[in-house]
Amino acid sequence: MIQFQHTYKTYVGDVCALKDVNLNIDKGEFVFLTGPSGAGKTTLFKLISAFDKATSGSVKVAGYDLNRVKPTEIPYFRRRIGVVYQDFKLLKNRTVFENVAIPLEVLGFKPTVIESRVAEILSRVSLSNKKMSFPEQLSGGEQQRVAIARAVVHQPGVLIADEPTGNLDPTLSEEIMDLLESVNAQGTTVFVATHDHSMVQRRNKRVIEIDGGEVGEA
Amino acid sequence: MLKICWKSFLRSWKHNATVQVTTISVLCGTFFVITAFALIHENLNGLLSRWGQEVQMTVFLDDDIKLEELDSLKTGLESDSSVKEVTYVSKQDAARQFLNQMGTMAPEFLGDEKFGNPLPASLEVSLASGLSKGSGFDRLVGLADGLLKKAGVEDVSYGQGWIENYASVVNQFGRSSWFVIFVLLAGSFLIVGNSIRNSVNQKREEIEVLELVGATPFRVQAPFIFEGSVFGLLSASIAIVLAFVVFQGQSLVADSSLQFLGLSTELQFLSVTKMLLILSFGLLSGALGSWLCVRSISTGWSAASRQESLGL
Repeated sequence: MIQFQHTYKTYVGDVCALKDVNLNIDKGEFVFLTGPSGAGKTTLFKLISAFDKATSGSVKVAGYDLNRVKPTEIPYFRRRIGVVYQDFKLLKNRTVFENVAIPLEVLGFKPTVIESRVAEILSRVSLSNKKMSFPEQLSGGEQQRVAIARAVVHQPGVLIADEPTGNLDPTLSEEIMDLLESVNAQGTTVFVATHDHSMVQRRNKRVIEIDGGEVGEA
Repeated sequence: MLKICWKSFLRSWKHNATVQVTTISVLCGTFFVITAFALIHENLNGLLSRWGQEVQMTVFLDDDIKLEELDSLKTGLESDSSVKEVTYVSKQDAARQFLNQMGTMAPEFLGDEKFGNPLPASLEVSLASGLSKGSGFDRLVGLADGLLKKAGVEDVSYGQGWIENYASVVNQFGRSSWFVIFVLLAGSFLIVGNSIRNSVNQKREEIEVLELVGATPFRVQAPFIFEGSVFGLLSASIAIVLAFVVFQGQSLVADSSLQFLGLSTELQFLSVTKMLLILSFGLLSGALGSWLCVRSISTGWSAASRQESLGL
């Protein structure tokens, strides 16, 4: 589902963010990516979500070769993945329902289908009673649950989460991880970046470590 | 898609009403000037057309014109589609008309036995309506030039001076109007573009989220282009309504204070076609102005570029 082969990413000024990355994540896996700040986690995720291009080597995600993909194909690729960020990236002037409905609107679903799918996913993340609330009326944990709901409402094959618990307290972090595991249980490949080692140890999942742009299995 | 665009427009309006009202007001002023130019041009042309309908051409004939030459001239003119009617005025008729006209002003002239008959025979030609307007004026000049070359024709008169001058003023005004309209439309692109740029800045996060969930560039840009189109169309509509109100006021002034010119019945508001043209200009300038502004906001990699520029 996610494959890196001899992948390098160098920024201006010869700053090498990723060095010869070789990585393979199969369909349905739940994988943690750990490493200190500045190790290259975000760069790796930007390559996976086609927000950046590798300098050399190949990156294949959900059947797309992202180093060869045409710009016009990128939107169609992104419809096959879901992305969750540490800062939630919710639209403040839209309700919870409207935020979660965005991917379905983009995919052109009918309003009745959108209504039922959003209701279903909000129920899964236990936010049915907040669907008319605005993000600023929610707690951090609730906002992240909305972000996860938005990322999976269109049933993507891959969910990548970049420090999804970075802004949350330990209790809420566990809650979010439980939610990600339940998404994984439905068959979605989940790839989570975190530097919370204690949580990674408790979850007993596959762990990939990144440091100085180099990747290795823990 | 229309529903999405409309919702997005309402959202912009709700969160940025001051900028939206300012933009529409400035655009409205621009389209009001465009409408005023179109209105003045239409009415100047209308006057030219009316006066053109009253134009008569007089073909003065040589004293020694042969009968067959006269017949040929008359037949030729009658078969011309630009000509409505041809009347032959003999030397005697011309002298009679002249003496009658002079008699009303100087009765002593009627008894002057020394008055010979210097007046030539002529053909009085009524021209088809609208001939002096636009390209019809060229046809009128061509017809007169052609007649002058014919045997038996001494001179041709059709009030060349004032028609040429007036037509030239109208044509010059028409050309200046197009220039002014072009400049104002270019200005309206900038006004719309500026407002849309502001809207884009306000919706940066929304654009990023849309890109994140796989919106195509068209899906990202369409609401902004729709917003610009609504600006243009709304402004042009308001400008036409305002111009109509001002026109009605001016018509009343022309009716009461300038009655002697007889303008009130001649002044007309823009035709439906011209109003539709101005509305189309509004719509297109709004759409084009916003498209020029948003065409590169969503390229697939733009969110990444923004993140890099922000040092993320």
